[in-house]
Amino acid sequence: MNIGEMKAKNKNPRSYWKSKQRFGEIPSSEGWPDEVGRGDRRFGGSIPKCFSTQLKYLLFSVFLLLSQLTFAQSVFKGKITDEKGNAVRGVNVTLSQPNAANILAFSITDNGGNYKIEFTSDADSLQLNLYALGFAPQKKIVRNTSQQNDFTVAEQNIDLKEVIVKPDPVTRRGDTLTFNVGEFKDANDRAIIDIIKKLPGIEVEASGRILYQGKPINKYYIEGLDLLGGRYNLANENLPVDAVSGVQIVENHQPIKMLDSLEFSENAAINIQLKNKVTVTGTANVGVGALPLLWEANVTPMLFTKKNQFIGSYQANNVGNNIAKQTKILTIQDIMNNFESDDDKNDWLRIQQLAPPSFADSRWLDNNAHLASINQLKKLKNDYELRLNASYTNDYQQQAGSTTTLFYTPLDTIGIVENKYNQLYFNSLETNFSLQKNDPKKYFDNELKFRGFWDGQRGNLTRNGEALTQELSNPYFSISNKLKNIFTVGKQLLTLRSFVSFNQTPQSLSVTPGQFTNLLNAGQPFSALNQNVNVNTFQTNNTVSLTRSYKGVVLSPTLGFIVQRQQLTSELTKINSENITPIGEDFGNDLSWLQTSAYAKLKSEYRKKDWRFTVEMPLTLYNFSIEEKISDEGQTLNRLAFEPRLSVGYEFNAFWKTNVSVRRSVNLGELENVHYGYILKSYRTIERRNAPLPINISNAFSGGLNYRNPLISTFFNVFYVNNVTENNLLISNQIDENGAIELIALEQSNKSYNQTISGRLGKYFSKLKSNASIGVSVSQTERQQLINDVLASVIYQSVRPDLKLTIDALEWFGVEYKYQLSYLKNSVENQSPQRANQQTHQAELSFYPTEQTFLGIRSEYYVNRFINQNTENLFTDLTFRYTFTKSKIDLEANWNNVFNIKTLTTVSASSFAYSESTYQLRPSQVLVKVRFSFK
Amino acid sequence: MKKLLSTFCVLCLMITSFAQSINIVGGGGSGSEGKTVLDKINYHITYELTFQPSTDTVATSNEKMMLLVGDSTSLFFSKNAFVRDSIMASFKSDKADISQMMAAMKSAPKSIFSYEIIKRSNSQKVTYQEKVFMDKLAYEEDLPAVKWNITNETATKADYPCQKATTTYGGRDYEAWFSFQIPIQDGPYKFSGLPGLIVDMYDSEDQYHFTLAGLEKATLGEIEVSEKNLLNVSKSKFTEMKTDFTENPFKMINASGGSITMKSKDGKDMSQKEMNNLVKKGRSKRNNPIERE
Repeated sequence: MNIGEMKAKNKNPRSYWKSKQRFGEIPSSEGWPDEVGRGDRRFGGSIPKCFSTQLKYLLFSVFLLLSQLTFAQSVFKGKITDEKGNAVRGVNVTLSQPNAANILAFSITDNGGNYKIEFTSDADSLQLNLYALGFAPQKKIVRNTSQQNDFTVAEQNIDLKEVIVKPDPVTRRGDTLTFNVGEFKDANDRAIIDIIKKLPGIEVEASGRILYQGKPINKYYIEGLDLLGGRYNLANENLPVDAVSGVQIVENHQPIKMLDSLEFSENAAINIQLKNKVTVTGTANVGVGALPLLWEANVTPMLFTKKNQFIGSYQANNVGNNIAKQTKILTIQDIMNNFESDDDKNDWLRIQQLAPPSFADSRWLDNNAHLASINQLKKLKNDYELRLNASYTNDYQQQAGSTTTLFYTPLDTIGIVENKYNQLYFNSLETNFSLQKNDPKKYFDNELKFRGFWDGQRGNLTRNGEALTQELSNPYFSISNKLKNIFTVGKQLLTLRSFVSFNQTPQSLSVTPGQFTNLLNAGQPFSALNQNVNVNTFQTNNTVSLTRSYKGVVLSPTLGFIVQRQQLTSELTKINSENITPIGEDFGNDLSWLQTSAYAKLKSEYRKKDWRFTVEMPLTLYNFSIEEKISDEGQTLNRLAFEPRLSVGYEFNAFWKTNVSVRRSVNLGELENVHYGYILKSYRTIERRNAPLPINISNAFSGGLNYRNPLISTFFNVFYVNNVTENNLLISNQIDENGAIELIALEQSNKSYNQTISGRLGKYFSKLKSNASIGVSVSQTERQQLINDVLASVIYQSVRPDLKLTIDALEWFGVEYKYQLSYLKNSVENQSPQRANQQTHQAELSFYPTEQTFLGIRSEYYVNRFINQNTENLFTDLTFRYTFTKSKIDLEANWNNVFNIKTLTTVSASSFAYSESTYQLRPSQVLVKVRFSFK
Repeated sequence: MKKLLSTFCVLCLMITSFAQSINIVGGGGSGSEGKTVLDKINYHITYELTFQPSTDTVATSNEKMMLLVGDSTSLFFSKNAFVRDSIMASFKSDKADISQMMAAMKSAPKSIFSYEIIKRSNSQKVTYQEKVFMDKLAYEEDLPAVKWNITNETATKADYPCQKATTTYGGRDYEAWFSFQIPIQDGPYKFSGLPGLIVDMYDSEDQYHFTLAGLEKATLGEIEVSEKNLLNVSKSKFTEMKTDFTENPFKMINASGGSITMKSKDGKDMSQKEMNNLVKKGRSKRNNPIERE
């Protein structure tokens, strides 16, 4: 070091520090005149022990000053060994003033036990200090000249003064994360869903379902109460942000308090905390548009007090917004509880439908919908909660379009063209009473549900020029009770679930003029045909289950039994010049069905290292007894069904994974599959199932291979499924020249084969902030069909390649593009195959010119090469949104179907039929919406 | 009904026999699955970390960080993350009662620091491991990661006499107080190489402040790290991947074959641009990492 260097240091001490590469050298005190003071300020209470007097400190400074003037550098080095002569690594060798502790420079011995300290000072003598864990400390006073000092250190335990960790103060409770709404709120947010979407770990699906860490939430509470029982869209989309103070996410939430410390839950719950103890709030949302006159309204008042919660809602629109979604149950818990309780509406009869296009409802749904909903929760004594959820929906929908259907029979191809105008009337009431007690000692939940549907449909149709009307009355009524109770036997918790339901399906279909003249009226035309069907069902399903783990294997056995009693009566009558005549014994049913089944299920899972095994072994004893009074026929079936499933997963390394599974499943038929008399299902389908109960045994193999390399942001996967099904029945299809189908089940064993292979390859380009992926899916189904008395094998093949591209390189602009090609091929034995293909291009452009403005352009382009026609359609929708930041009012304009495309044609194919449906779309329309909330 | 009852009995018997056969298969479960033992633990050292997660507010958070010191290896990690991991490990071991473990998991604390820092004084390397999205990434740096400048300032901290050293790392200037009376040349995060344990350390803006909160001699235990499926990358690659994930989570998920859709107020699917913009707005909550460059 020379003087020039020292001056430079004084000018800019920090940069000197950084540039100085030598280890452990101490700067002079003039370089940092205020440093000591700063340290003292910071830790005001502590006194330096190492310096006993001010005098020493002064002397030290002087000494340092001098040392820099003399430029003498000494190098101290040496080797440290233990008493056996082995080198000792990691010894602190420090240099200090004699008898002082303050370190001037230091070295740490390397693997060879060597140290080396370079130090510059003019002190006469210095002190070398040795400190190491496990060895006695040593010191030695040396002269300030370069020298070698080897040491031998003696083993000695050094007991460090321990510092005991203080226990954590409770800063937050267990699994609950609380988010202050204020922190996440921005000017755009209106309803609480806008906040929830932004919380870390949360995703909201298109249906409104909320996922936390990729898993659906299991409860949606408002102030700790489950008012909506899973129908949380109603609150989520309507509760104004300003009424809410916090959103809590309770991770691993076990909704049943009794199982809280026993059964792990992977799902989280959401709890909405309100600002005030009594909250009266809601939203209103009005939209008007043209042409024709469009309207949309939503008024949702809410009241929340400590013991009482209420949400009411009235919503209506004719803009194609499907409001049924608002009362849909979304929590996984509630859906799971409807275990095997097949109690949903089942229509036995139908008018000829028009397949709706697969894109957004708002493009094609011609509706006039009203929804009223009342939800109330009351807290009773002893922690019981009583809840009522009632909703009434009224909707009138219209569908118009045409369908071209081709039936490939082994002898020829039958084509029919149907022009359809359908009017659908929906009228439904659903009420749900539930009584629940949920505390750590008792869990009881009973839910009584009534559902009534007074639905009707009318279809005006021309088939190959001939006019037809169909009138359908398809009501459905159901009353059901669901009980879940958890109790202890010894130390084991058992769960009892019981489900009982009674439902009625009194439906009728009348078709004018009469159809199936050959079958029903000796070839003579007649004026009308009327089909009545009534089904009464009583069913109950009861289970007891428990979960145990033993030596790393998790076992969950379940025992249960099912009783199902059904009564089917049906009658087909023809009307000819006001004479109503039943058609005969073959066309009526009076059938009793009784199923009593007992089952045991055992699932076990075992993991070891990179392997995962899952074994499931359900065993069911079925007992069916079917009696038909009219024809005095019947059958009984007793069968033990064993349906094992084995799945094995293996991880090769961080990039490659594979999973293989095999399973056998046995499917036994339902009431719909056994009826000895004919039933007219639709105007051109008549069905008779006077055969044994269908038994389908399928053996499936599936395997997948997954590659994902995050280092190059690339993934690849391929998946293969092979399914062979053995059926005891063969369905005979008798198709006449009008496309009318007579279906009869015959006892003849046959097999069907299905194979699908699909794969996808994708990459993310970090520099361009862009994603690209390509995929393909190839599938083939082969089965035996009896068509017009000829047994033929039918092969249906499809190939679907696709491409996706997303570019997001700019802050104010983003593009998304998707392309899909569907290629379909249908071949019936001895017939030339039929081919069709459809190409879809979708592009979405998003612009953010300013913070408050959003402009979105969504375009879809369809290119169809169908058997009968080639079509090309371009759809474009525009969305413009402006937000008044201060008043929190959103103004949004939507221009849907800018090019006023009238119809869209889609294609569907089954094993021997191919149909093209042309659906009349909503015309070009503009809707301007204003949205605000009230308090 | 009689028939039904007898069926039940048969089924119960079958369950018992299934259970037995499976138990034999499950005999060899191991608790330290996929873990590599690096060293034995000599000292358990605890630091209290007080940090400011966001530059937008001055609000601070706390977390306990652990430094396990062995003969030639040390491991630095969040205590909360460790508690979670060990519960997971015991859950996998064969003697575990699943429901108890699950309950423990439920009450296990959360951590925002998912990294593990392994300092190997034999090879003079420091390894940084962290899970990003679905992948456990690791990079190596030379040890010590920083060059120290020793000052002559002294103070007593945690009852130990300490001396101050300064350094610069990851875009921050640090002051570190070490004690020669604790001859462990280690410290929090990647910091080491002083002739004594770092007792107190903070950056010049006091946004990351490590304070010694515990020092206990260990009589048993091993330093273990999970090296299963670990991907070794360069530090720049690590930074790139982490930035990609925080800035474009949806794309990273898409690039793995997954997909997420969000819905706007009126039920339309949002474009990915809209989704990313939402995330960007809600982010700024953790924009202040310890390494700024």
